[in-house]
Amino acid sequence: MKDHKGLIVNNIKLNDHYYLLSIKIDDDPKELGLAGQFYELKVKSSQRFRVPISIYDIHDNIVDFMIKDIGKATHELSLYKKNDSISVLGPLGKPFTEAINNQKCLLITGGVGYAPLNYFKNTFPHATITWFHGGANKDEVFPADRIYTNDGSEGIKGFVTLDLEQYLKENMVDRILTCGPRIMMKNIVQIALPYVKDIEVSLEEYMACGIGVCFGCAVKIKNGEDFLYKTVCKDGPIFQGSEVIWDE
Amino acid sequence: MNRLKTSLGKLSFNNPITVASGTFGIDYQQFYDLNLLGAIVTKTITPELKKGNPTPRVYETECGMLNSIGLQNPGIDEFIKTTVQDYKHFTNPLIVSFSASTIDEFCEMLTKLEAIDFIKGYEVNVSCPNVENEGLAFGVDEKIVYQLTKKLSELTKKELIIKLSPNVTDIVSIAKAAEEGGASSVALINTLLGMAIDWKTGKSMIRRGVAGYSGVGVKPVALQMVYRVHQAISIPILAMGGIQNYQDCLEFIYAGASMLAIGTSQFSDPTLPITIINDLKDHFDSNKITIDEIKGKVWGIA
Repeated sequence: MKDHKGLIVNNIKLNDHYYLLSIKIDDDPKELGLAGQFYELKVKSSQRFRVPISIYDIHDNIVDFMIKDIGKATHELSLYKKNDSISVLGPLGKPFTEAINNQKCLLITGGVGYAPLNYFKNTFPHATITWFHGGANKDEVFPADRIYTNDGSEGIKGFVTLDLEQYLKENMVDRILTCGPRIMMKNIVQIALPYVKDIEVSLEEYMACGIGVCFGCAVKIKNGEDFLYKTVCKDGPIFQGSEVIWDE
Repeated sequence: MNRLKTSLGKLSFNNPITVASGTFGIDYQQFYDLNLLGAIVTKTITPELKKGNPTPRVYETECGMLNSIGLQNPGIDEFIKTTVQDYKHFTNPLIVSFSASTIDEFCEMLTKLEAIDFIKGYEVNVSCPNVENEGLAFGVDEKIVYQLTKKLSELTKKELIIKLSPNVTDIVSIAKAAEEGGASSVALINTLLGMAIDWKTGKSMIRRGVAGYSGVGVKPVALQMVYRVHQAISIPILAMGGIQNYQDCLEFIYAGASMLAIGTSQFSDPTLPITIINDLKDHFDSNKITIDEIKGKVWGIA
């Protein structure tokens, strides 16, 4: 993990809300990050907090970030142009567990939660991957085996969890990996845990330091009968869904 | 010559830059050699383990950040066994921040810490506004600050820094009480109280509602408090509050600071303390001045 001086090599608008920011980082490509890890991007409008963004893909020494234009900082990032420089801190956090050959992985994503699982899929081509993806509308749809939209503008109308239980009854799944809104992941864990023990969730919290120092991005994790707070930035962002206390 | 040399009451430092308690941890050694800092200040420890506050705990505001961590820490015994050992081999002074809920507990903690020779000083957190009944009652009452400082000063010959809360009617009287009690220096300011609300829904952005406010927005407040406290007491001041660059440091030195802590700004730039040390060195060398020559020399005030 380093504070890199990155160079923007591409910033492609995918639709009105999403864009793909590609940043060249001069470091050993093997050190640039694993699926599930993230970077903290420094934007000028935010002098104190950086923006944590998951790795969408890595090729050679270019790291791709799929970003949703959702606030001041992500809007500013959407305006950055080719050849702009940007400070990027990372890779940060713990990655998803590696996939072994032929392991049956069910990926379930919501909205921009698509990003880290895209890198997972590209990293483990020999895993057997089935992908459910959901979004509010067709602007949030990206390639997957099953598509769900809340407004029915593309794919199946409804939440991504709509027929999850039915699917798990009919299909053998070794692992579930998920990233998306907290309520979506909470529901997935509730529905799927009787069928699949290994459910990795990628969590998000307001974050400050990014390196496990300030304890700002805490999440409540089971600790026997009790609980403790772990950090999304250093202990996570990947946790076992069964360990997370979802009430906060 | 090293123009950056400075000192607090009993400790000398190669340069005046340290880190604000709570914003710093051993993980920063991934970015630079921590020996380059003037001193190291740990996160506040308490007598027992503290799980910390529910989330959200942090939020960025227009001119700074809010935090409500709740002094999450493993407790003093675990700290002594593990955390503090990480700092054993650094050559710059290690200052341990601690807090408790009774004077006796403060004294017991200090006694435990005294057994560790590589701890060179203490920052007594009497001001953290995040935790109910812990610290808050001490820092706002000059009589209690005096009593606490007196007891602690009788237990140690090491640097004893009382960290002052800005959330008081008169910080000067609290600083005087710390000096009279035997503090060798004071640190200021801890976070101001603050709050943020989502105007669309009315929901608090911090789970506990009221939080500690730090960052660039608090700098003018911190500066006037350092200035007024410096006018009133003769022990040195460790100053902090929204420092972002070496120019900010100079302002605090002119106001009366002997030492400076970088806090919130590290979150966007982890190597900022080192940048500031280098910039200060350039400034002092090219102007051929020392910290002592300009300390407290603010002018133009009638």
